[in-house]
Amino acid sequence: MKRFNKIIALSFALLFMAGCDDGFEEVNTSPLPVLELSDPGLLFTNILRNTSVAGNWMAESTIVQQFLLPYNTGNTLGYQFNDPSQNLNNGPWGVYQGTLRTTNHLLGLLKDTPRSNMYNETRIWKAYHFMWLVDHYGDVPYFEAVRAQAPDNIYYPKYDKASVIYEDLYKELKESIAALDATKDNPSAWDIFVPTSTTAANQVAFWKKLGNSLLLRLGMRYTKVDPAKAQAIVTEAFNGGVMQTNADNVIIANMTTTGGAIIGWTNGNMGEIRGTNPYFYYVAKPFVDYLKNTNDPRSKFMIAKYSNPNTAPSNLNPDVALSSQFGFPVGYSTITINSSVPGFRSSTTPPALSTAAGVNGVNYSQINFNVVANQTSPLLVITNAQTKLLLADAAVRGWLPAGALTAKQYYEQGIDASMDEYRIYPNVAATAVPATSSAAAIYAWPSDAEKTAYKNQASVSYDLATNKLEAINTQYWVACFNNGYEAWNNFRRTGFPALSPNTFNANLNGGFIRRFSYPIAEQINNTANYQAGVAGLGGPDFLTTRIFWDIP
Amino acid sequence: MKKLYLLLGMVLILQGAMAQNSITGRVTDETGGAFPGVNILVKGSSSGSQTDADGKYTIVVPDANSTLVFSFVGYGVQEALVGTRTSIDIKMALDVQSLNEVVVTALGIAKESKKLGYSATVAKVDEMTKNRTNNMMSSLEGKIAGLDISPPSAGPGASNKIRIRGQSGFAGSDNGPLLIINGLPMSQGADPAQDGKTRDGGDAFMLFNPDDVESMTVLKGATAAALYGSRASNGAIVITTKSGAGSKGLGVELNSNVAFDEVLDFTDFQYEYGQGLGGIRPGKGTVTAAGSGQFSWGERYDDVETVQFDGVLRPYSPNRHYITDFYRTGVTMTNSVAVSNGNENGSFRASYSSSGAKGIVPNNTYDRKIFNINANQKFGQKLTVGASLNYTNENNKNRPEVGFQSPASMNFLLRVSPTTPLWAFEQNNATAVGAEAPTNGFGTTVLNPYFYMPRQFDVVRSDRFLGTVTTKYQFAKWLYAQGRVNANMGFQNSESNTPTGSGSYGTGNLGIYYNNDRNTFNGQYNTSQNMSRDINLEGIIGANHRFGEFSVDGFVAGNMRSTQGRGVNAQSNAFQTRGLYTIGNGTVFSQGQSYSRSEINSIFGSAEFGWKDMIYLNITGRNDWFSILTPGNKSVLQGDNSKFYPSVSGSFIFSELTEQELPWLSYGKLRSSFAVVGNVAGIGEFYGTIPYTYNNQSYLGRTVGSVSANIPNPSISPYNLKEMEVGLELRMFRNKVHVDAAAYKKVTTDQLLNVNTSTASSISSISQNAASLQNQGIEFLVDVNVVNAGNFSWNTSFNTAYNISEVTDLGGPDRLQISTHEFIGRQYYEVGKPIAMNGGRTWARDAAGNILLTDQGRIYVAPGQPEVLYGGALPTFTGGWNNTVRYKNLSLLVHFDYKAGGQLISGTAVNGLRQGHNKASLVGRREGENGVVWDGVYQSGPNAGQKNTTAVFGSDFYTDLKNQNFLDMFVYKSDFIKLRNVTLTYDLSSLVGSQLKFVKGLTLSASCRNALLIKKYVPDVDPEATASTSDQKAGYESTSLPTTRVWGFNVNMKF
Repeated sequence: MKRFNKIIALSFALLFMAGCDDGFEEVNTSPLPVLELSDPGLLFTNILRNTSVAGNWMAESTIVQQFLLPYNTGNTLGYQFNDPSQNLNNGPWGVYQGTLRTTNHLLGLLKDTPRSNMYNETRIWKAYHFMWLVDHYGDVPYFEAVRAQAPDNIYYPKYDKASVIYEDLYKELKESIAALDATKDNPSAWDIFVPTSTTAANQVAFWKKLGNSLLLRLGMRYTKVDPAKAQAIVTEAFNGGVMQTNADNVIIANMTTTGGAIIGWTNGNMGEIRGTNPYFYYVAKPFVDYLKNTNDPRSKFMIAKYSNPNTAPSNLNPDVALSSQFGFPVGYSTITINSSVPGFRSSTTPPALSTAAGVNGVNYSQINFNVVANQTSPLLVITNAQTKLLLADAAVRGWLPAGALTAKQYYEQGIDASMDEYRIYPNVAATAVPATSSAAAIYAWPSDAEKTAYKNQASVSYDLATNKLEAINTQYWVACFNNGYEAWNNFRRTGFPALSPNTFNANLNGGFIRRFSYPIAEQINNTANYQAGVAGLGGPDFLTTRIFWDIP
Repeated sequence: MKKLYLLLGMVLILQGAMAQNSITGRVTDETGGAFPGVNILVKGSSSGSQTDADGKYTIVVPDANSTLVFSFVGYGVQEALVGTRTSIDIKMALDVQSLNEVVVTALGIAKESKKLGYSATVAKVDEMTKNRTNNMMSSLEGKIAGLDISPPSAGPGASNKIRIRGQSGFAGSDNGPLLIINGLPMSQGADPAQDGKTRDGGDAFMLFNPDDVESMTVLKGATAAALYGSRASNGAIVITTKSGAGSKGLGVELNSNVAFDEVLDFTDFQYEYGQGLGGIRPGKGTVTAAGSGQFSWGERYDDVETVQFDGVLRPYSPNRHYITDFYRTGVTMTNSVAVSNGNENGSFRASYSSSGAKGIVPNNTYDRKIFNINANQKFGQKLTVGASLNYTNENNKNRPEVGFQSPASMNFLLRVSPTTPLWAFEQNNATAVGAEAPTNGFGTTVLNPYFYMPRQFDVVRSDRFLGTVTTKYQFAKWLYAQGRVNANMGFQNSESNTPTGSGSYGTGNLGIYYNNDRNTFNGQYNTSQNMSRDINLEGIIGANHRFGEFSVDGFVAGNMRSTQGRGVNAQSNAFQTRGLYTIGNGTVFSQGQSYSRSEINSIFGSAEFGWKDMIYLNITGRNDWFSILTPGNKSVLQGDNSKFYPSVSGSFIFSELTEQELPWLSYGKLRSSFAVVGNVAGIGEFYGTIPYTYNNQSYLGRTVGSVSANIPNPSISPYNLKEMEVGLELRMFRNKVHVDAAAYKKVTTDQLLNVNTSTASSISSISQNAASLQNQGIEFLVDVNVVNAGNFSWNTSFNTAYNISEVTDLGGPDRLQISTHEFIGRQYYEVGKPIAMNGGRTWARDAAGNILLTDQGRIYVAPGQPEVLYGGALPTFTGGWNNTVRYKNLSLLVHFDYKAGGQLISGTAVNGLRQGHNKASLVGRREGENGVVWDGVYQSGPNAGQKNTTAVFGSDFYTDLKNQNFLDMFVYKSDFIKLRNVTLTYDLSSLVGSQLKFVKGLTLSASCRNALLIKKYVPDVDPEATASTSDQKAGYESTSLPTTRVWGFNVNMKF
């Protein structure tokens, strides 16, 4: 009884209490979330680790005919069919919501704090990612982009002219490189590109080389559209000090220093080709042919022939003999390819169909899943090899200041650097070891003799090359096998290597893909700005429209 | 059974032997006129008679102690002891009680229906218990005008989509009705399969045993629910459980039910061409068996031994019954027992019910135990205390995966070529190392259920307590106070795994069954524990008084609601010992913790004024204060944490004035109401927080931090809903005909919308109170007692509702994409159009309307070609026709229902066509045809403008349609007419009652649910075979379970 009376009393009390909102703010505060970071550097690690590097095998790498997906299986319809695929078009745009969002937040935390080196390195990385966007799409939102947060609240940013963005990126790089100062903070504890134990001076030196190499890349993009400007920027970058050795390479590791997998972190670019029906994916004929023509010692790291294409990722010892390699002809699908197609390879002796996993498919080379397409293989963002080959190109054009080496020297150093890059890949060591049943074959890195033989053969030799630029930039293409984005940029910039257009259907009018179409969501959600952006392209929002630095 | 017949026989013999006296007489109505059709029964027997056209009757009675019972629907029952009389005349009187039916309304307040200025419909509870469904609301489908119920085909523990008068808010807000159980308000809480969550988690209606339900009222409009303020926007369903009140002495009730779910296969696929690609069977050319298993683009079936996925040669011939061979007949057993006792001072009822369901998916079971206690006691003359407790224990094992490709069994059965027998998929499901054997080229999205299901588990164990204690103190006849506390507590434990080696072909690292580097097996184990608590404290002071012709009835009240939820979850991966799915066996972990908390304080009140029992006016108001909103005066940002919700309603019983002029009109009422209510759902607790998170795994010794993408909008507030309603209720011809009609318009404004932004802004959407929507419609019910002739009666009742919605504002843009179908098409909102429009591309056409094709005869996509809207996904007409025919103690219920005006996008049609399985895919590959020559003209090339003559192989042509989102061939009307339910009931009460004193009632019934699909438009599936009850997924068909026909048998005994 007493209890019931209490309830009644309570109920009456409520009548007078209710309506009051005292204590609501406390009620609406969660005890769980982390509202302050122990160090902004946690986000710095984030933006570096999540750098957009190579793009997609089915997109950029396929445009430059290193790679193919010849199966038309519905969802995986890719660029080799030259159709504007939403999945592929949307890919590079993702940095706005990903890395750039975190980058801007980090810049907000660091601005006007003593952490000036981290601040300026973050600016350099922001410039890298906007270059990535412009190179893919042309005009994109820049000045108003990534500003949804209060107080800006810009939800529908305007598009900026690609050339104007490039101007600003140039300014940003120049300023931030200049502002790096060894007497200031040392963010190496958060900088995944350098050892944690390094000094501020070493860290700053590393980033200056990184920044200038990126500036060199930016300058070279002007090759066709404004050679004078290209030369000026290249000179500035060269004088500022670009990368010298492979130790200067900007690498996102996916392997511990002792060669083990890093739990929770893998090379994201390999997930799809390893995980989803590996038998869909092949190396393209032009690329394989070039490796064979030049007897390339890097070939074994890159490509391999598997007895069963569908179990390739778990085959630890595929056939890597160069003579066994055949690329899938460009312009065909598994349905349309037939014996009248040059390079057709039928499965006359398919793997026995009695083994359940025996999806023989077509009989072509795939990527070497133990090395280049391993989950632990590194991502190389900006490399010494690229830098050397860009310098070789600049030297041929006479753009380098006094004190520079010759084009041939840069060319050969670039090749050597590219060969040496494979030292950091999984299952690569100084000495080759054949695979046992449970371990992967270990491939030897190219010896000096192999490198020399390679450089001196007629098909590679600088001296024998009739077109120096073609030789240099075809090497750039090979050096960028695991970086389709940069291979494609250089192909558009120079027109090399000489490739025949993919004529699978008429969508490209016999040309190449020159840019990505904007995500369809932009067309719907940011219509007016999108339309202005398209108007600025100087052509429709097609794959064939050229961006500002890519003129015929 | 034998005993039963014996009993029946005895009863009949006894009756025959005792027939003796004959009584005659005349029955008149309240005006003194002849009253035909009045039932006359000899009390305690089954012998009866009926008055003729002159109101005269004759009946034989056994002896002078017999009592005659005179009855007619809507009139008071009259009894007359025969005694020595041979002639008995009776004057019938209208039953005021039955006209002034008492309806349980908001807050559990019982009101005479004549006082209601809004629509409130009472559900027929006895039909729910006979035509039993696991989720009791499923059985109400098509029974109440304006109550739109869509049961998903997602297993026995699944939720229903329940929408009253349409969808009040945009997808994403809580659009299910409020459920009020003995005064305890709770959300329907549907937990549908959607967005990668592949299993349906049920809803709050799963917590109840229909045997415990005393009454159920559907409060359709905002006014009816207005006293719930910010929870009232979707109407309410008020349930009162049986309390034993009115029972005299001890009573026991037993109910047993068994129901069988017969799997229905609506597919009508092609069985002419078998597995293969490009017109070639496996083993030829580059076509392999394991790579082409998903395609029926092979050769004509010829029984020649052909290699299959497992390398075995088997005849190249079709297997036609995948669906019925794979699924089993589901069985649900439900037993319940209730004990009640009562007297004038109090009552008590306790019940226990246990049900076990074996779902049609072979590893799925759903067990539920419900314990319910209700007690009421008077202490003295003034104090009444009532308590009720409902405890539910659910154990839902292996809830079927639906609405998403990968492990859904239906996805496999509908998408692999029927060339391979199911038993082969079962026998050879694994490779030598125990990974899933490849069966088709859609490796990670079309999984072999025979590999997956035995290795996979998903268990959800839930305990729910619902408790209410109410005390009422009657200070005086006109003044009372009531205090109520109610609590809704839930505990849930769940576990699930992803088995080692599934869907991966044992290859890529993403799905490798064994990781060489780390010596671990892949797979995943998840477990979580969650607790929720929702407590309401409510106090009411009420008074009523009559001043001559005027009456006043009102109260003021306050409520405090507090909710809290806590949870932890943990996941492990990379197992050391194969097949052991535990946290301890994993080597890579992730874990999470959740917490939520909110309070709402409210003051509300109601005043009702009556005049001459003819005109009533009711005004209510409620003010809610929300902890989750930014207070207006305490923040620099504009915000308001307080909302006021008023309502006004009135009724006018005009038949009081027309008694003389319109004698046929027994009862006529006009009602009208207006209310403003709201809905706070969609604004989460701690909304303004922008937290940082740390990655579970450090990277090269460095902790990786992330910042939340949340961009809070501090000024968001709950949406408002204004609803106007007018209604007319008529009872005519001595209550034989009952008509109820309502028209309403409700306008939802300030809807919270995630307005899409440019992703270049760093976010993809921002929450804003930006959008508006309106629903308007009419509801109509006519109920006719067609025949009521003693031994035979026929009641027929037809209800229908029309609801049309219109999106009126989307905060700027005219069109908003809501969701994307897994295979093709999207759901859009567009200003000026109904909510939930299906959209996609349509054929590009020239000026003359010809379809444009490329110079290669394939579909042509014009540059920048936009998507168009096809039509609304939601039905505009819903309704049902219910017939109850009774002959003596046998009654038959026949219920038809229908929905019309909606559309669905059929994933089954998309895949059936592009993968070569359905009949439509036969075009272009029969004798003498080399492919699809689509009816159109060339858009480009040398023959531009000419009629297309290029043949394209079917799979290529149709795959383009899917990839380019061409929807023309895949949108169908979702309309249907079903013979929803047939129930046969034999009431043995009167037979056994007179013989076996301790048995008070015995009823047998048999029912068939989903008896017949009379009309549909979509091929190969039941138009109701949708996977999700989510508004986001409205109109999407794909990968749900087949629908079932349910055969139920029920025995109910009362002692």
